[in-house]
Amino acid sequence: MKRQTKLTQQEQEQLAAAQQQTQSSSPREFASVEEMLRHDALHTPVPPTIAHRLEESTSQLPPPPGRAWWRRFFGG
Amino acid sequence: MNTIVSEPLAERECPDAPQAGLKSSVFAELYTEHSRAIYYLCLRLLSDPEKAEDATHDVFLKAFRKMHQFRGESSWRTWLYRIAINHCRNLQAAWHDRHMLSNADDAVWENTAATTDSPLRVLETKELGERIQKALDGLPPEYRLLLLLVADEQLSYEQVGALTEQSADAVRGKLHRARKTFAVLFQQTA
Repeated sequence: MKRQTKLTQQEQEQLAAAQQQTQSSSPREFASVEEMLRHDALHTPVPPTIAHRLEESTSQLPPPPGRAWWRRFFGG
Repeated sequence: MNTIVSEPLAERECPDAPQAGLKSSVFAELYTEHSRAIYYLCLRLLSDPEKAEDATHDVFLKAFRKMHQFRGESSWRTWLYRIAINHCRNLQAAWHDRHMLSNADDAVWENTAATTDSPLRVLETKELGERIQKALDGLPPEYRLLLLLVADEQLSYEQVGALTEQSADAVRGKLHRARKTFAVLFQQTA
């Protein structure tokens, strides 16, 4: 059975950043392919331009009721 | 500014109809929580950061448009993955992906001495992503997708099976060969 994680993406990023500081360029050993892929995913940043592009794209759609998600997301 | 809650969206009840303020709120959290997983899947399936960026944008835009149709029959994560997989498949079909290996190539990996039970060692983690991409590119598409989905701890084998249209047992069965093939290809990237 696969282990279910309770970490949010934000928490995972913080954890990855902390791990990266301790690892830097030291040799690394992975117990499985999946572990390697998880490590890689955590260290692969999402381009911030995607969120900005989504902001533009969704602004051209009929506005959802309430506060726009991107304003909430970016604190605007 | 509202706080992004830490409770996983996948375990929360979904809205079954758009309500004032809820749609935008859920979408923001949806993006915050799942954008990394979706971008990573697109990146490794498409092997191109720019295409992955476009694909991730398109996936979430589709999600934004279709959110009101989400009925909670799957988790948000699974729902987004399904959109992403279909989107990437459509893109790959359009590009006539030239790097796909046929099933006949499986024999090559079956007969290769791969030690999947031993740990995968890398000396330089900075180039890890590049090596992983090369290894994934050499895999049959089905194996590539299986490994990427199974690596996500939020997905069960049953959910991976649902996403790839097969049983959980079939997923488990194919995983062994997928891991073995990946290990062979990864060693060749050193």
